Amino acid sequence: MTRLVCMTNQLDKAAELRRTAAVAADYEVLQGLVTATTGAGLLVWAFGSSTWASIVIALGVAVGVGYYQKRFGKAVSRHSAVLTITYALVSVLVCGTAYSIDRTLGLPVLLLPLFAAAFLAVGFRWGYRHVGVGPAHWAALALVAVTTLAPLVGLDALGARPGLFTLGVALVVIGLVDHARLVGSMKPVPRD
Amino acid sequence: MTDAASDQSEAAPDFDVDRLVHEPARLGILTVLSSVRSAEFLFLQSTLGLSKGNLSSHLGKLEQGGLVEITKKFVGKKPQTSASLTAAGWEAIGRYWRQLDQLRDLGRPAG
Repeated sequence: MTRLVCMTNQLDKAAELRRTAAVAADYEVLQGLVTATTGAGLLVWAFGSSTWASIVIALGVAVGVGYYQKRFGKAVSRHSAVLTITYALVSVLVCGTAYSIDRTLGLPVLLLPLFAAAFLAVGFRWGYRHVGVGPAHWAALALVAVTTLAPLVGLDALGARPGLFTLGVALVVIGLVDHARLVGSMKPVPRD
Repeated sequence: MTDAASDQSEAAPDFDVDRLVHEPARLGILTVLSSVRSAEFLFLQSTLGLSKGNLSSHLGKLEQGGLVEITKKFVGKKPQTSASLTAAGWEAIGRYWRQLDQLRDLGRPAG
């Protein structure tokens, strides 16, 4: 009986260790304050100022990355750096072009949220492949995807802004959830 | 060796556990390192909840055993220690998890 309990404990510990390893593997994507401040920047942009938006995003990324390195240390991910950079560049380029089209052509659907939702879906599949995607992530993605139809439901007077706004809200939600997941799985460091 | 003996040795699961890997803190270190390319000392402390002295001692043993490679450098005036798995470390942690999976499978009802 004692041996069975010991073995069960060992397997429980193994399962917990695998969860810890999954968080370590996806550490870079789980640094949610970086994502959340990018979302906050898009919200600033949606309400008018692209200059302030850029400042918020740049500061947010710098402060966010610094915060995680100081608090939890640095780990070099096994995710391919080339793929990560390519994904970031292509998504910014495509979403930027889509936003320009939304602003100038006034199509019956918004292209920015459409492409942003597609890039988020790809990013989820790839970035969270160890820790998995939570329901809040899917809800945020759905919110972005639905915004594609904003001009069809009478929000055409707002122009391209609903796309930026919901993408901003989605990134803030995703970022805060990721931050909570990361902080919740890290352990307090005992003193010697 | 007869055919029957040969079949038996092929089918027998390998439960000869490596003591260096089996210790919980060292198993944690190796498992976390297997999920990243390299990790700083503080990152290992934060993920595993180990004190400085404890982590340092276990990393030393793993380095001595050739399972982990430790790199020390200075960033400004601050020393920075990071660790990564060696090829032998990969082999050892892979083998350990396979053994644990085999052990778990033994506990499952047949069929």
